[in-house]
Amino acid sequence: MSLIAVENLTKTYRQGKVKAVDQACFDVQEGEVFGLIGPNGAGKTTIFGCLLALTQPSAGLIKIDGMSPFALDVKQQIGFLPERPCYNRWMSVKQFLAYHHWLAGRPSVERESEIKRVLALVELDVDINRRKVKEMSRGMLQRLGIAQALIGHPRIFFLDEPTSGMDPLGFILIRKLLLKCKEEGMTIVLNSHHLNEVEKVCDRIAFIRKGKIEEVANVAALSHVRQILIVSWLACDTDSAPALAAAAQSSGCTLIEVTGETAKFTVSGNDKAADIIASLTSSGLRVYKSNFEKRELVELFLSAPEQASKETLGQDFEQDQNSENALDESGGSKLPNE
Amino acid sequence: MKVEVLNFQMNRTLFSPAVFAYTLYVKFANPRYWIIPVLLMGLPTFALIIPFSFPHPPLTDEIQKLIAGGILHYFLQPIVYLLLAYLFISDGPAGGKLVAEADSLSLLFTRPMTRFCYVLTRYLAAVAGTSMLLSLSLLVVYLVALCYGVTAIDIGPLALASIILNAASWCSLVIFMHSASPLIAFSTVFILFGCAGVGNVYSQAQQSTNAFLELLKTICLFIDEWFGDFLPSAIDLVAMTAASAFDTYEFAIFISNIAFFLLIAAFALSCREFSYGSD
Repeated sequence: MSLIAVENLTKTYRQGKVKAVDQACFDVQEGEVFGLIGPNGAGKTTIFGCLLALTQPSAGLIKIDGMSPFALDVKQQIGFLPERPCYNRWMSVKQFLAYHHWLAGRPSVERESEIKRVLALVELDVDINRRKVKEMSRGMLQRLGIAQALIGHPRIFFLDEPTSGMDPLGFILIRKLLLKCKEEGMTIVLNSHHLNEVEKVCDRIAFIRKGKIEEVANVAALSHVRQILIVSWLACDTDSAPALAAAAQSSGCTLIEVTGETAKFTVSGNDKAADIIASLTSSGLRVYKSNFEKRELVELFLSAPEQASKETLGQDFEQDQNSENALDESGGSKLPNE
Repeated sequence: MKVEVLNFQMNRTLFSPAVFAYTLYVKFANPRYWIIPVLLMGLPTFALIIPFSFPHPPLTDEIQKLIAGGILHYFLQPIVYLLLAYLFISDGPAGGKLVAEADSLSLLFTRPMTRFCYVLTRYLAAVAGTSMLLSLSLLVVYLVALCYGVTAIDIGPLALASIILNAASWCSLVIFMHSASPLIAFSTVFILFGCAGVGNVYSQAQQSTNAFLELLKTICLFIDEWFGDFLPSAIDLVAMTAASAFDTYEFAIFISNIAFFLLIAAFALSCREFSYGSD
């Protein structure tokens, strides 16, 4: 049984004129990291609102651990990082975290140690008794938000744009933290348009566009379907075009580019790559080199027809890449799995 | 529309100690936030000390009653209760935004607490805080008055009960303002206090020859007639019990108004959706 089950979820505004979410269906298994990705305004946060019982769905069904999201037993199990860090600005960091520890219904005896634990987790080194929430930078607020979400030892962790406003080191921290939570068996639902980040932590992802879930895909499986095989052969007098077309046709792959004596095919696995090479060789082309080029998740998403969304995602993706580059320049530490 | 307030789970739906503590005293942790409450508490004592600091006529029973009446009048003033209720219920530390913003509430309601619980707990904390401050203020002014030989100030159970009931009444209005979306909150208060209040004034006005003013008067009188009783009002139990017959009708309206504002506060908050632009 799925931990989170969403069936035909629909959310409309203005008496049904605006459809923010349209017949969304997906499920999340216990211990899974599930990503909702899509351009800005796709409906990701609205889905989160319904999952967290902050908005009432117009239609459809949501079950979390077999219960309605409004059930207090469900709320007892969740931690939530909101996209906009509108926290109680006047509180000190300690007051804020103690407040949420209390609200989460945790025993008071563990409050001090729990606050220290979550602050260490998010690597927030501040004078927690004196530092006010309003004095914190956007990136620090994001870390504080993650700390408050983790404070009740949640079973399900909802993160709405977790890297928003964070510096490159923050990106790394979030990734490290999510992987740690995943190791501990926490179920994570992540909402982001930073595809690079999603790809590195998620088990499965749902592509959302204009309120509709276009596809729910397994990230590991995606790595097979989005490989590009680059094949190079020695120059020869014969026309290589028929051989390339025949190779693509026989293997069921797509020829996407030919430059001189180099061609690119999209392939869905090693066996298909072997078929192409065999076909080209049998056609008389003297193949001397072949290798895979991994397509980024963003490219896969961009292959969908919506041009407007492509542009938005492309920009976001560029921001991602810039952050990664900045990290490299700043000499930031890399994780073992990177 | 499904309303979350109906989704009761009795063990954790009525009272949240965390919200109570933060409404009542944690937001006053910094001494600079005590300034306004202390000023409001000290005002009657200050008003008592000033006349006695200058040459004054000897204290007769009549003057004592006059002073006691003046002091007790302060403890019936809606503005005092409204200010204190606002300090407790508003989002900031002792005075911030009155209407709770969707962004700040959304995080709160992902915690195991119903919206009805939030309304009730904040309300109870505000009533407790307002009553305690004003009762303490009454006690201080009573002791100071004793030093000047004024013994007529009543600090009996009825006077204290009046403070608690008035706090309960005005806090119910403020908690409604806090819980409802800004548009509903302000339009309701505008209708109640604006139209009904103006209607009250119009009812004593003479007939006008201006057709527009007459139409306005008719509308306001209509609203006043139908909704005027919903206006929170001050109640003085000392005076009510001293009268020949206790006005049970007025008392019933007073109590029902508290229940009404609490219910619509819970209902309005339950209907609020916390998403982009939902307010």
